[in-house]
Amino acid sequence: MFRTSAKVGNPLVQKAIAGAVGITGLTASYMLYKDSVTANAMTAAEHGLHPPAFDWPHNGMFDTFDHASIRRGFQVYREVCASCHSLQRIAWRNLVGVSHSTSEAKAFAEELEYDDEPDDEGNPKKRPGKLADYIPGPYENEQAARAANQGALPPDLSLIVKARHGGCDYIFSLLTGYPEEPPAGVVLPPGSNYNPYFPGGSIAMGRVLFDDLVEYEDGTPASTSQMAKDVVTFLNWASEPEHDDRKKWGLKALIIVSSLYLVSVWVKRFKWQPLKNRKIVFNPPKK
Amino acid sequence: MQISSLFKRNSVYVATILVGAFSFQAFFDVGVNRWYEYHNRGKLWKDVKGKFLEGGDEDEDDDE
Amino acid sequence: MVSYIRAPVYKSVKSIAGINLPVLKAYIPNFVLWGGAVGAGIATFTDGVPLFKDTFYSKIPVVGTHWTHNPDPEDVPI
Repeated sequence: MFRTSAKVGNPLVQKAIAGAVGITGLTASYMLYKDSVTANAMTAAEHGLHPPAFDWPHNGMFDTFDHASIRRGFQVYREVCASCHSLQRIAWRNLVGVSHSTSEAKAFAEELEYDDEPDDEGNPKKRPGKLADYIPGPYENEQAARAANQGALPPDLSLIVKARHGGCDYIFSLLTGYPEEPPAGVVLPPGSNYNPYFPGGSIAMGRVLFDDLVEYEDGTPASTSQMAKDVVTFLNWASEPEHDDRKKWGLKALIIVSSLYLVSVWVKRFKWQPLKNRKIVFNPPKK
Repeated sequence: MQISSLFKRNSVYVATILVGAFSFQAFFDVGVNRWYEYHNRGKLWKDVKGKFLEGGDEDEDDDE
Repeated sequence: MVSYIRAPVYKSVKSIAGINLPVLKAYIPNFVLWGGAVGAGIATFTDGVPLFKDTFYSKIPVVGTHWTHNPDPEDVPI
């Protein structure tokens, strides 16, 4: 099928072709390498190092989140991330039945004060939190957040896994990818840190996860990567709270739709069989 | 009792389809859920909550 | 002796809009079956309605527990 009729018989021409191919490859590799050592606009470094694909427990088509990990991740968020990052779109009630019991979520909410309706004289009042209240952010508004972080705005984490190219893999790599010191030749603006996974390499957030920073209630050793994995699982749940049900419905839909497809194939064949198999014969009358 | 007796009267035919639909949706739901929970055992909240919650909250018959 | 008549004598059964008793009687088994079909149809489309679940389906012997929903109160955000 793929036979070529034109055969290059001349060994000199063969060598010339091989040489051209080699030179092209080497040149391309060299240019790629040159591109990777600078961090100017439109280079590889500007787009950040690509994270490896990790083997998340929820990777498969029909795999749910690891809910113990969500719970540990919430602990990490609450004790570490929450000092700078908000989680606007998650209410305390969302945790119930996912990673916490009703009374635990209520206890979290009641520790905090929320704005109540004003009293009869119009003075603002406060009340303890309820399940329906949303998790409060660390800052009043964007200006306050920027003022506290040298002009950098810590992004809201509710949808961060969906909002970042690479999703879980990227955030895990970012959290665990801070080198001891930036590579030689990298010049960082004041107040920023080096992270090869962050596009451009210079990120305002410093490394925050260190071994044994939190103490897990189930006794899981709190290594840096364990905490990063847990908090990324939690953030993925925060981005996709419907994830587990969605995969279950997907499974049901796949079963039903593919069975209906097979039935339709059978019906088509059943209806067409007499038409496809009939043979029309014309016997010319013999004289 | 033959299969063809289901097709002789339209009423029987329609009733068969609807009764089949009613029982199928229940059985299908139960079957898929059971497989899904078996496939993800140990990861679901109902599997891990006994580990976290105080008071030995290990009641197995809370769902279903 | 045979007494011939000139033409057949027609007797009409009392009927309202073409529906009369013998016809109705003949249709009874069919109507019963259609009733069953309609019942099954209603059941199919109200399978998820709480009122129907609690009133009827949870009382079906053997498989009735499928329609009872009894979550752990600690898993309900109230």
